[in-house]
Amino acid sequence: MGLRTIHLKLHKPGAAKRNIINKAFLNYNNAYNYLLGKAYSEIDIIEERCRSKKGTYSTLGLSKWIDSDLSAEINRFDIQPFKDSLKLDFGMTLASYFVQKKNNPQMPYPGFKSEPVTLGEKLRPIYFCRYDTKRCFCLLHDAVNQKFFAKLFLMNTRNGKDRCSHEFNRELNYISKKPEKAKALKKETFIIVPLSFGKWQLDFLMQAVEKPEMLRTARLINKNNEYYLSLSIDLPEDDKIETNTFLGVSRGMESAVNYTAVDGQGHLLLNGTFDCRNSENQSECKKEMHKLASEIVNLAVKNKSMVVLQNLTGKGDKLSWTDEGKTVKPVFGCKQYNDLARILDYKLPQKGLPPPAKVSSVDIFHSCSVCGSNTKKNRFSKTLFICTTCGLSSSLDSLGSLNLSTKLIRYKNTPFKLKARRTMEGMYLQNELIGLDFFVPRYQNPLDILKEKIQEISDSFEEYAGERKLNSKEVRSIIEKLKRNNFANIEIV
Amino acid sequence: MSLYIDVNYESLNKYREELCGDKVEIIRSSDSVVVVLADGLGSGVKANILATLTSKIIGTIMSNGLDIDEAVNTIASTLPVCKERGVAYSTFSIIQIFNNGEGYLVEFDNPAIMRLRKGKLLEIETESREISGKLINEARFTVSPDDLFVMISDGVIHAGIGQTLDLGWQWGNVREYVQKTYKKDMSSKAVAKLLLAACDSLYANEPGDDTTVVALKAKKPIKLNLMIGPPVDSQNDRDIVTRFVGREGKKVICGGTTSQIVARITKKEIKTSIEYFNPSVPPTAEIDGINLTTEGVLTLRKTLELLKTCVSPESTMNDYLKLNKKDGASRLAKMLLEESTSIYFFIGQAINPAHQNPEFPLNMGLKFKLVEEIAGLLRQAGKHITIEYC
Repeated sequence: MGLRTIHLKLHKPGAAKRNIINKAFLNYNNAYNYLLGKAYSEIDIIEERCRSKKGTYSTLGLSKWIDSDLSAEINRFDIQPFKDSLKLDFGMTLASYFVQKKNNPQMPYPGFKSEPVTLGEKLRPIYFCRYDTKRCFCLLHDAVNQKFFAKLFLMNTRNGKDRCSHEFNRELNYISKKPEKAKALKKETFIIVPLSFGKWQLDFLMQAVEKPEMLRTARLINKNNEYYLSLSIDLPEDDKIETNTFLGVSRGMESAVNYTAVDGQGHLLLNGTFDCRNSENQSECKKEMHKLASEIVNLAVKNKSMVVLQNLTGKGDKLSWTDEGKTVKPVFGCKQYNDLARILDYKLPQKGLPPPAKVSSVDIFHSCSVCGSNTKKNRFSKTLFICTTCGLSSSLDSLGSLNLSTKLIRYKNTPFKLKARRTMEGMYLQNELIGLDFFVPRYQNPLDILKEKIQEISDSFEEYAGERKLNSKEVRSIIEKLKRNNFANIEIV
Repeated sequence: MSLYIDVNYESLNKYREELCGDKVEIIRSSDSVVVVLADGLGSGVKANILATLTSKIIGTIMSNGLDIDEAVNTIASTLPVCKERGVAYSTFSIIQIFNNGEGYLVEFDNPAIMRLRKGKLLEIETESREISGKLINEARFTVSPDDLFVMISDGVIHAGIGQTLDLGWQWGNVREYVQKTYKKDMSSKAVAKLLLAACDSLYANEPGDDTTVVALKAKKPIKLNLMIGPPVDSQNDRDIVTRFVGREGKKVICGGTTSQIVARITKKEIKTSIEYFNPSVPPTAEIDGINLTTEGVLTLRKTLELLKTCVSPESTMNDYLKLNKKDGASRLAKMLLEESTSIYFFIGQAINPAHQNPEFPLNMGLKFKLVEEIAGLLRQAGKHITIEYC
């Protein structure tokens, strides 16, 4: 949890270093293309053989498709310093391809080139799969001048460079659990390059000096003839915040997202909207999305809120509006909203809040927040909701977030339904959802017997032999809720 | 054809006004019902005076069989003249529905009336003519059972202007909403309340104009027979029960002993329910051929509470929605208020031994008082009530 990526620029590497980096890029890309080309010819076999029982694919599992022969074969690309990383990178590519292919059978195979690549082309970043002072990559710190350096292992022993001077001109310490002083070697398979960055990145690097375990993987990127180290760091989470309100964040017809905060009883605390500037530029869009997510996180922290989001991966929310044959779509499409949800998935825990709850949003734009009437007729126009049962009118956008914010409260208050049938001898009680079906003889207390039966189910979740409509997890959730309410929320039907 | 016209209206005062500038007058006679909705010029006291005079004059004239020309002439020469605008002005709509199904409509400057038949809109074709310099629209038509008429003042179509809606709620929108909300068994009170609640909500609870909705629902008379308590003389049990069961319309029994008597005489089984929908209301029972069987005094007391709330001028749409609950009192209140036009009470005068206990807070006097209060409220709601003590 709390993974974050920061970009650090390799500060003006000299011609020799550039040469080494460029060579590494070419080697890495050629080897990667070679592996993809090899896999292409037997992709169906790989897909079948590497699939887990659950139908998923692991990066590590796929990387193991590269056997010792193939592994030796790719040594000709001089990729020894990053061979493990290359294998994992290849595994990640195939795993991602197989997952996408599952949803879209027409998904094309990842592009690769049979001929050797050249520097003018778009090059795949070099992946460093671990932070290590002896291999892959690591960072060095010049505490006196407050400078940081990257140590990148890009050469093998064969093409390693000889060092003339055996001293560094400054004192460099490894950012590591054992912060040793870096020493120069006679023959080096790595390069050390100074890094340039802003204040924001400096803050993370200083944290890393204290907690080096937060440094994870990296990618070396070549962009416009400049080099950047894209560093993945695992940030420690902030102190946990005890939430006592709910913040519903839904998409809207007039604004990108609407928010409503309610207290534990569902009373309105505040509501409003957030907009997200649309841009043709993808990176601008991303920036805006992160800005929006940060605003939501700040609001949630301020109000100690559990964030409730729409689950738009399955059923939709029927928010689009068709009038006279013309369909008007919400400001945020499902993809954009899901992107936002993904950002909130990690941003909220970083601030000590629980991850957002994603709930079904099938009815949030059609249900009255006062009387609960749920019908399509309640939607009066593109943006207006007027309840056909109680007359409540509301902006459709704010209604959606309000309904979302109270969804968990309503779930908590939903009674446990027991179907009852009385006979001369006693009473049959049944709940098909959790597989409860028992008889209460006359003159016996049904509640006592119900508690016993519930306990029986709790004690044998997995081995339970009776028929039930829900899975163990759902049954456990219902039973916990019942116990939490001390068996008071029962409705006889 | 004999029709019962269920009429109700609801008004909202303009924000911060003590008096409503709209006035509704309902005059029931043996052969017809006349409903006048008048909307006085401006707001507050002045508008209220104009609207009251207009509705009273028109109502009196029309219900006495005189024609609309007479009414308009009288208004023109009677209404006080506004100092600011120099005119005496009150818009109005008049609808008269006769028991035989004939209908007559007159409109002057008010938003057009809406008619729904089985939930579908049915235009009323009007003809225009001038009376005393006022251009009025007039129509004669035939009314069928289940026809719903909705008369509105201009406050309805202005709802939400500059607040929730830029241009307010146009007449077409109101018509669409009325059509969407139409339910066959919805009472006129519920229709009026619902539409007004929507207006109030669109005005963000601060109405920018006096707002009135009048709903008229034509119904075939629906009879309901209610038996409360066992007859004072058990010798008469069979006779009373036979008459009760033999009467036309729905049947409701209130009281455990009473239901046992009915079950015994009709040789039907009583199936008691174990469902407690509301802890303060005892569960109901089922007897074949009887629409509802409830406990006695506790249920009646709760029913009275519900009726009082609904009939009160301050009642809200939510009060009406409470009648949809499944407990005995809510079901009984809904049947009395929304599903019947004529109610016949059989009030048994036998003394329940349980009520003799001095610690028991209820007595016979209280039971009769409950019934009388219920009957009074139902009369106020326009129901025909007959009470027989047995």
